[in-house]
Amino acid sequence: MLETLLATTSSAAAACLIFQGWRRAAARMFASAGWLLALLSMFAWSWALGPEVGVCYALGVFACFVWVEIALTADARKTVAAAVQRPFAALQRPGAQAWLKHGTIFLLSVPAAGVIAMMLSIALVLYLPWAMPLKFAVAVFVYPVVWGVLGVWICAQDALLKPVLVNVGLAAFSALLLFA
Amino acid sequence: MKLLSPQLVKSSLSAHSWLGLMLGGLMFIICLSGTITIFYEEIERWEQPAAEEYLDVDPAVLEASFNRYMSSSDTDMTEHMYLVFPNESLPRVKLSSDLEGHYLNRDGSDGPPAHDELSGLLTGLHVNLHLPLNIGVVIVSATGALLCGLIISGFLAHPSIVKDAFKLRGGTAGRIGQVDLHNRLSVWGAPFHLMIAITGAYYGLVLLLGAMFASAVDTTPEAFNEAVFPAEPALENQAPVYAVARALEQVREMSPDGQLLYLIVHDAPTDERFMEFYVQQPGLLAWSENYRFDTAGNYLDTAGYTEGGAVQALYSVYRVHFGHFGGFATKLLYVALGLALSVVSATGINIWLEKRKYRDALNTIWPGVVWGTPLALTLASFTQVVFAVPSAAVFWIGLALAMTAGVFVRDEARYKRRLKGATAFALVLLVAGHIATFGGAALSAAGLPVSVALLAIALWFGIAAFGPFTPPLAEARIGGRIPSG
Repeated sequence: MLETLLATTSSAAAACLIFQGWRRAAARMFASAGWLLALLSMFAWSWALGPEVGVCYALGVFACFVWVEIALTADARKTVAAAVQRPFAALQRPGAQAWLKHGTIFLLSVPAAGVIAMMLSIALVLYLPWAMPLKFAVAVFVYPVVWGVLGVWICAQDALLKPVLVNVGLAAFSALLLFA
Repeated sequence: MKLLSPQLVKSSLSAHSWLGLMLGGLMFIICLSGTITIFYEEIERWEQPAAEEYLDVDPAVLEASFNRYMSSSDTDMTEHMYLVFPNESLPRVKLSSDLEGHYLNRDGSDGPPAHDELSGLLTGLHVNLHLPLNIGVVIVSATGALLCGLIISGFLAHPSIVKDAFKLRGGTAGRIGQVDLHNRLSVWGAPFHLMIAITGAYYGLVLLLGAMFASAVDTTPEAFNEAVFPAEPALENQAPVYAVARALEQVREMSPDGQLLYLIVHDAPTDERFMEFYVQQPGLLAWSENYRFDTAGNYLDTAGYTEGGAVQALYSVYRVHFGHFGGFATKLLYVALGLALSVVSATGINIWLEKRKYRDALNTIWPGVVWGTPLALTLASFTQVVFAVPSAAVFWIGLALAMTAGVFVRDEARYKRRLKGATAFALVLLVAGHIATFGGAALSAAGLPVSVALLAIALWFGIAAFGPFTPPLAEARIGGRIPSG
């Protein structure tokens, strides 16, 4: 109980210090101290709940305290343009060209990028000197990130030729490493 | 020197918008249903409040009851048969197959049938969107993977991340308010959201990844599975009589601090059957350590899911994703973080809608998704609990109607308030229907807490719709008067 209280206090203090450091330019050291305390709170939570559960709590509770800080200091004045007049228009349906473009982006960034991310993640871990369970676990946790990054990169391109070429290149490279 | 070039910020924002618009609605439904699913045990308890509840069980009674269940001609024997032990969240014993089951009274007599259709409806929405499992889990998992992309592109598209770190302007209304809310919730919740995204991507695609891995190392998926995960014991000539009490005694000796989850009889219809006890270990995120016994109660082996390494990490994915560790406090923490991700999904689309120089039907369809989802979920829960009809269709038809009705209302603010008011009313109706269906049992410890929580949520919706803090419609209406034509 005491350990949990200490860990909770350290998370709250970390959020508070970071906020004070952010609010006052002259108190930047508060922010540094806050981040350090946020790091130390992981040890406090680990002491209280064990390292696995403790790290989850350290991240989650800290975020909640920051949100409380933000809510308490929110500028609630309705300065927004809530009454801005915006006309109500008929729904615009995209043309065939737009469907083709966005359909291609979808195919490249979702199914194609997904398969490529899996192949690439497996190819990268396959040649590492690890036991099979570790290789598999690393691939399991890495491929969603690879998929996300590749998907974002594809969506960020103005022209579609480059993503197509890169997808084909990555697929060929991965296939070569995996199946050659 | 700027850390992020304007070009990188611009292209990241463009990618973030594209992915966000593609996934926003789906992401919102998955996140909101996931947040509710955190309480699936409490919901399962609520939808069948008549079962007898207790935490202490007599192993001899359990053994006799389980053997009676297993040998009964009324039991549908499936590959896996279950004996679920009581815990704080669900303090009742359940005997079941893969298809059906019933609760057990403390004296060993049969209790009422075990109903988990409502919790199944809610988890089914989160796990596979009520689609065929093979398709649904892949879509949900792909959404998890693309959430990783959204998180990364969100950071790259946010050059003033430090400057705005604690800003929340405009009382969360209007575009600036929505931008601030979206950014503050997503930036500070990013470690948790990334964890949810990666673990969420696991379920639907791990089999495909395993098959690809197996193909790359020139083996079959089954052989690859055996190389990664602990192998099951190979037995023969096992009698269909289960020495549960003897095995249970040994489990308690091997894991005195563990929390018994359930016993599964594997390969139950064959003479290769064996018993496996799933026991959660304190302080660990791994789902369980598993102790295997033959049917005579002789100890065979321990699976080794909590012995460290990669297998333990893989076996921890479920509890990390669903917040099933550390008791009720963790569930509340996950609700806060899960709701934050739901709000991030909703505000992302709100920002895009607010940014446009005009309004169109999308402005009124989108509130139908955001505020229609809780309404449709409540209506589906009502038909499931009160009329006991499979209600996935009720949810999807309700959601479709909520989206369609928005087109005719043409006033976002008014429509949101109506949906919130309707949800408040539907929640009260759900609780009333529950009481009418179960009578006094609805007011027991199994029924009352969830009903009170539902009424509290109804109150929140009611205040949001009609309360003193809600601005009058004329002021709240974005866009003011709607031009004719």
